[in-house]
Amino acid sequence: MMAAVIGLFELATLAGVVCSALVAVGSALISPLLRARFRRVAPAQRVARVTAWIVAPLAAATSLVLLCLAPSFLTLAGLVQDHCFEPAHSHGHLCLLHPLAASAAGIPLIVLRFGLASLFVALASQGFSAWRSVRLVRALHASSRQDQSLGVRLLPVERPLSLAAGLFRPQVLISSGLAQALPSDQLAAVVAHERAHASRRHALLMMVASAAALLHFPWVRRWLLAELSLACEEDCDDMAAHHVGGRLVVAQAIVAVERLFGAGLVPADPLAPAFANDHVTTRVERLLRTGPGEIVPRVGLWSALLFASMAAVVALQPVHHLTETLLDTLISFS
Amino acid sequence: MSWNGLLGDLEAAVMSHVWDSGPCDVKAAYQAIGRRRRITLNTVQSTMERLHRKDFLDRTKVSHAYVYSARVTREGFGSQVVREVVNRFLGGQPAPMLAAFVDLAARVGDDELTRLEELITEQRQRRSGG
Repeated sequence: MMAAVIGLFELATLAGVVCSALVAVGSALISPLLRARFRRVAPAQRVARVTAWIVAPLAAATSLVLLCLAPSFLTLAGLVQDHCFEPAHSHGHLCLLHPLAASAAGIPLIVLRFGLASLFVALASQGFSAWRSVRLVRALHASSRQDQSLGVRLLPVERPLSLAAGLFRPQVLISSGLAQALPSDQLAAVVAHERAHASRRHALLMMVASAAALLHFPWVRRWLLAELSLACEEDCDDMAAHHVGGRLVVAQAIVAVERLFGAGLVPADPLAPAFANDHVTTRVERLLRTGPGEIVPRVGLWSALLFASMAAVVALQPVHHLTETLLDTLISFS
Repeated sequence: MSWNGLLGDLEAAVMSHVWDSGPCDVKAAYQAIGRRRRITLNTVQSTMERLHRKDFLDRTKVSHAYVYSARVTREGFGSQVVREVVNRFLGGQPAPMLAAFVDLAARVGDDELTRLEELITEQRQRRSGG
């Protein structure tokens, strides 16, 4: 029985992995076509769209596995009759009620195990980075003081720095060096920008996106995460501009902070980066244009969910059997 | 001094208390931190001992109890933490949970910054000139 359950788990995972790989291939193929178009969309919408793109392989794989196992769940709940006409057949069989000992084997099984092991290692590495960041955020909090006039935590250091730090309850931290160096209107823009990051929990979003993006090809992953990061920055620039009442002040603040931070780096520092920061240029040039960007009509979330639910009900049996047949073909070829 | 791993949750709370209130013994730290967190006096004591071993706290024996004081200032600690943050960004290491106003991992050249400043000035003049 245990072997049968493990076999079922392996088959379901294999179906999910193949599905996510196909979505990742599709994503890699269409990404060059959509890159230019994406930048024209308003940042807040771009954040939502890029996030949806990033989680697409994971969402597709999870949906497929749930759809394939849904007939078993519905039978267990007594809502439909037993769906297995030939429970004893030997093909890739995604059924909780009649699991067969037959499972993925040969090359698919090796690829599956290698893929899962790689994913586990990558996730563990991200988890370790997150743990180190938690301690860093804690240390930043301990070494700062609440500044009542600015409404932020003030770090007693000269190096110009402003951060939104934390995952679930992010706080805004500004170094005293930056607070003294910037004029009050630009400082207000910086604080408003960081507060926007905190209120929208962008750090949490980036962390989840980084994990979900592991299912994309590396070059697509890098582009998607960079695009998400830029969209978050531009979204916060817009909120800061709204708060301080002008886009030019935010643009000036970006250039001023970049200049101050760059000046603080020792040129011979081996860690000093040599590559260009096109985000600063892109953000400033965008702020100097008049509008915030093209607002694309939204498809209602509830309408989309309703449509997806109806499609799932209609496609339940065909998807289940088609997946079983494809798995069977895959296993028999290896 | 061991900066590796920086501070745990309780360690950070103890250091904040010592920086804010000055030298104190374990009982005073327990009154300020331990009761609120519902932890024992022994936990606070072992935390302070650990901070002493890490060279974050000094201690002197007064009567029967140790009085702990900060060996490193809040400013000194802050500088070290900020250096760690900046180095992590510059070194390309991921720092999930931190979002900086400008990307710390990449720089813009002086010429490009000057060009952007000129664009801003031009835009400002155009707007104020009507």
